[in-house]
Amino acid sequence: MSPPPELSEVHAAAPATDALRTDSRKVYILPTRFGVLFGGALLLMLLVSVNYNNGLGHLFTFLLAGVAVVAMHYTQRNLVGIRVSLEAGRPVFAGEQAHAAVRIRDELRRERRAVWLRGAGGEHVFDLAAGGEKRIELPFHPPRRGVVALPDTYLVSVYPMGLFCAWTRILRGTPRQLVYPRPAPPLPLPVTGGGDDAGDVSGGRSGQGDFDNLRDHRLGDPLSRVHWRTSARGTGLKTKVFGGEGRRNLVLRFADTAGDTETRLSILCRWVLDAQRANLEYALQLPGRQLESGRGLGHQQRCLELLALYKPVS
Amino acid sequence: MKIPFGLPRPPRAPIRPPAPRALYLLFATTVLASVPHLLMQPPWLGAVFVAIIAWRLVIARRGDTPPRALVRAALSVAMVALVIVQYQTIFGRTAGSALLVSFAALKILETSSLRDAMFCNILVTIVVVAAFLFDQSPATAAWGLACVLLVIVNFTLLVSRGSFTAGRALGLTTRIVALGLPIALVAYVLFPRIEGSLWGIAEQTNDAVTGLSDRVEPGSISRLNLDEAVAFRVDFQGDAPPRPERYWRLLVLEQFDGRAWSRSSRNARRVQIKPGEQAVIYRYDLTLEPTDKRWLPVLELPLSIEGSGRINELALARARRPVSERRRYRAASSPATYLSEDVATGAGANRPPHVTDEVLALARSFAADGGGAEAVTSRILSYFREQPFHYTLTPPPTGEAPVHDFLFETRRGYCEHYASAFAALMRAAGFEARVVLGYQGGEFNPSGGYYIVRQYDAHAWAEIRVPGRGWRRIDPTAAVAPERVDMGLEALRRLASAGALGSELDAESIRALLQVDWLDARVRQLVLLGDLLTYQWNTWVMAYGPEQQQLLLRQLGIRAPNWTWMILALTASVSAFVLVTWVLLSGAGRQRASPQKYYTRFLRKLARAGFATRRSEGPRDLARRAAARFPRAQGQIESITGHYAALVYAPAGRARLADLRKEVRQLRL
Repeated sequence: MSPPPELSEVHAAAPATDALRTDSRKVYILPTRFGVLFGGALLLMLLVSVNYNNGLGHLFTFLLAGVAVVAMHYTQRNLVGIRVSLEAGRPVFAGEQAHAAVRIRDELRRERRAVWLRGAGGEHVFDLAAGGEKRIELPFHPPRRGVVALPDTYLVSVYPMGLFCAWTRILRGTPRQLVYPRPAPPLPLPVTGGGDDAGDVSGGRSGQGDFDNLRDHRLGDPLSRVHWRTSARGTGLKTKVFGGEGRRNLVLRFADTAGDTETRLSILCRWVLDAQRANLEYALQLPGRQLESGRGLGHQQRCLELLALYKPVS
Repeated sequence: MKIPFGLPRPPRAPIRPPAPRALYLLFATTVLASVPHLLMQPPWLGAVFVAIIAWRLVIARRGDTPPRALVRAALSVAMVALVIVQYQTIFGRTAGSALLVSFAALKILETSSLRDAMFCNILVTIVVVAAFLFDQSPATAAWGLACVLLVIVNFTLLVSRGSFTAGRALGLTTRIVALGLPIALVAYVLFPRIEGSLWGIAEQTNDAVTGLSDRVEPGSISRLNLDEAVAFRVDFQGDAPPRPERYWRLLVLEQFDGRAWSRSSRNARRVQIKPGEQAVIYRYDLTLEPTDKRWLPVLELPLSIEGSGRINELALARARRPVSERRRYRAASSPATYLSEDVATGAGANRPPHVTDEVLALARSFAADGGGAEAVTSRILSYFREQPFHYTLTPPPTGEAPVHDFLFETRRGYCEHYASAFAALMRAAGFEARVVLGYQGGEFNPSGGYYIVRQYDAHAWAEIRVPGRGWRRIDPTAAVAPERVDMGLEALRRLASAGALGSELDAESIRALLQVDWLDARVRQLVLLGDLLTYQWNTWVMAYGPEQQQLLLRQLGIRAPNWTWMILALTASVSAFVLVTWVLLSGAGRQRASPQKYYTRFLRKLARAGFATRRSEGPRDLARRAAARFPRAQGQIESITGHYAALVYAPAGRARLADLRKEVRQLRL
């Protein structure tokens, strides 16, 4: 049985940023199909020039070949000496688009032109002034929930002539993007504990109606729910607890769901979101791992992280 | 795509639709590149080309999409059909040129994507180089360079997609070409040139080559006397023979039918000619304009000729195949009085038809006093000199028996009349004689140090055979008009226009007549300077073939430049230039100018002056201490430290860095 993942572990595995500087040994270059075509054209010109013993033909063929060689150097040069740092964006739900932020800085006081930043999910073309800096959000679609490596991202350039394509892979593997399970389609919260009127849970009650109970104020409780009258008595802030919330003692249980693991996690995710929207207090129980009852955005985030990192018991 | 060596898979090359601006420039480039082709094609092709371009522009203006693939395919087939109707073939230069520009136009018609645009741009380079097959003048080269620059600008605009102004693209293009040019030049010089062709040249290009034909009859040379076209240029190593000795032999005519002299039909063998004892040997490089003939002009008696030329038993040089391109060769000659005995004897001294009894009687009268061929020759030449024979640039027509008519009626003639009549008389007198066709003289170009021989220098003279000694050159024209040989035809023409031709003038008055005014002299100078440029161009571009390549490499000190050597040298030097380019572009070779670099120099200067720096102190403390030690340099030290601090803590401009560098350099402690 694998140990339950700790959040600290996630953060350790996924540093916020990673940086590197492109250098000439890691910039690869190959002719594009236009480069191959151009090479063919040069060969044709050379054959014709040789056949007709044509001086200018030779000269211009070699000139064009020299130009292509120089262009190749220019292409490589366009990518060398760029510092790239990449950071993962906010956690997203599976199926949503995530954004990796790429920060790019020229370190050789060179003007960069038509550099393509290309990842699995998108591409972006940019120019960079000499010594300039840019931040680019590169969208991508995480393939699954969990801690997902950012897709292979490349800097690509065919500048200046389109005959050669230089590329360098930046930042493979790290950092990582946290991906929550995809929320299931809306469905009622589970009936748990001693609740009798199951299913009818609607959020957004006014703070003025009847309330069932008072409890100590916790960080995150909306001010509208503070029971000021009681609080004014010097007992500290009290928060109103509305019908059923406390009584029901909502527990979102993996065992209450059906389907394969991912479906179950999706359902749990949906419940967490709905419970939070309804401002309910809820606990989360996964095999081998559970979170005590709680509420608020902090609690929701902890629950979602737990769902994201859940590893089925083998 | 599988990538070897475990390289990461390359991502797809970025594709974006081209900016309209880039497309228009591409269209303009294609049109510019097609112009020289269209000018020599039939007008219908130009009309079709213009129509297709106009169609594309209308499409662009309306924002329509280009015609569908079916329409374009039909158009392609139609163009090929039209070219076949015109030329009965799609092969060869002219038909190929027509096809090429047709496809360029059709490519423009369909171009809207980046892929098409890139393809079209590559096609333009082929169109440009193809044009050189028809003309290799400097003007064409300039046009080609302009096209190539535009092509590169097109590439950069297409690739950078709108982020580039055309001006900056041109700047980049210039840098690329400047860096590519050395590579190109090295490859040009060292790439092994081969003689002849890979798959044969079916058609001849020189439709209207002027020059000598292989017959001498009345009018065959005098028609050239206004033709200023250059026949060839000669560069002598060391001394050149004086003008009266500069006889360039081209053809030996031994068949005489009473009217015209022509070549005998024998097959000339290749021979080795040895120079006579104490013979002066002249070595020269001769650049021959295309003639479509195999004749290679050489000075008098050729001893050797380099490259593919051969010397035959008539002491003439012949190329292996017709000279259809400008061609340069090195030869050595000896203008001896007698061509060596090796040179084969000609046809016998038979009485040719159309030689009248009067001519025969005249010939016999010369022979009656006895003596050998040389004695008879001097009698005939005296006869020409003493009788009222005249040299004229516009000889009167002669009838069926031209020799008779000339000797007894008109007595006015051009070199061909004199040579022909002299040789006919010699034969009639029982001696071996023949007519030689070639060029005489040539103009010296002082700015280039070479001689220009033009078509109007074409000349005919005679050779007689002196038994036991060999063939001897006799120029009967010189007996009548020594100016022709001494001063050249150009001078002669000026004398003629002054009405002084043939009159008895002393040298002084002739010189006075030939004196040109200042303006004419300057114009002549300019003409000669222009000719020098043409000559250099011809030498290094148009006639740069295997022979010239060998000459050049030998001049550079390579004794036997063979193919292996050339390929090795080519690879080595091209690699070297590519490496240099890489170093220049990557900045790998030079340390980047940084404040630290100059500050380190400053510290080194201090250390050399015996000032120890302490590891613990910062620049300001150090400056304070140093200023106390070197009070005279206090201002400089503070200024340097100030610049350095400013540069390190707040990246400042290059000007400040330059100041730092300058002040460190000027610092004297």
